[in-house]
Amino acid sequence: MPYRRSDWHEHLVEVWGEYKSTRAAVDRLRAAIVSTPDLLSNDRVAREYLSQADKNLEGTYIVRLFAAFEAALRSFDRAKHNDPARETEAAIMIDQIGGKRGRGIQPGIRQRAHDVRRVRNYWAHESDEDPGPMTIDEARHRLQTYLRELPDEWG
Amino acid sequence: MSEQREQFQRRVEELVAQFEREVDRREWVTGRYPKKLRDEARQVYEVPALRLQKGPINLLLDPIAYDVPGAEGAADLYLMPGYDPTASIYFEDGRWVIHYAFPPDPFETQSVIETQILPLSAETINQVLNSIAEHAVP
Repeated sequence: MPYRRSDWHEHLVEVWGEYKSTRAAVDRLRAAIVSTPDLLSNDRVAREYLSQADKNLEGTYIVRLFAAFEAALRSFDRAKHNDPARETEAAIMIDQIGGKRGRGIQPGIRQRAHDVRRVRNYWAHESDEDPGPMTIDEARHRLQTYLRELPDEWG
Repeated sequence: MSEQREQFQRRVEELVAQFEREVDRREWVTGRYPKKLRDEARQVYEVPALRLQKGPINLLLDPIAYDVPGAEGAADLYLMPGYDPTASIYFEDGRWVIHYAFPPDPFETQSVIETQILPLSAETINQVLNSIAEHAVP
């Protein structure tokens, strides 16, 4: 059965939506703790890691968002080369994937996807190179725009 | 198949059909495609999603879920290609309603952005779609 690009778009939407829900939950928990300081007194670990969870939440979800994007590229890359075991690095796939009708993807769109990849590297690999701030909304916008360049179906 | 899921499929079908019927055909071109969702038993099912195009502006009416707090169904209107959220549509109190924050009037000095809840009709559908298109950066 062929893979549909729309399904991959939806997968990214789901990850982004889960972030929005989790963000709201963490924000509300932090606010609740201000008014009720002993709210987490029976959950020591949750209490101790709340600030860190709050600080790292967006980066954590950017890692998941990029993983969903990378899975889409890998699916397309494997179908294109008729090799279900093919493993190509994300950076190479971003540059080499031909897009619709095999034509290259515009440099600006590729560059913006690479920027998200660097942010992913920073969070996932604890890279020392700070790529600068990027919101998950911006990351979602860039990755979805790149995916739009792929054919409607493959495989 | 759960009753909730079947009901959601019927409601989404009605929602998409209403957009197709009510949208101003002189301005907008529409096209359906099947969207896969999973129910509470992790079973895959399909509902229609709807692409809407007006010149360079591309929108997507995207059904989300029936398991939504305070509503019996949700769909979003995204500005493409970045999937930027613009409006939400909920099934509340037995009908679909649009939640949309009209952008402030640039000539008003003190404008407050408030999300409005509008019943779904030919008028509100076109009002919201045209407002999104007018303020969108494609």
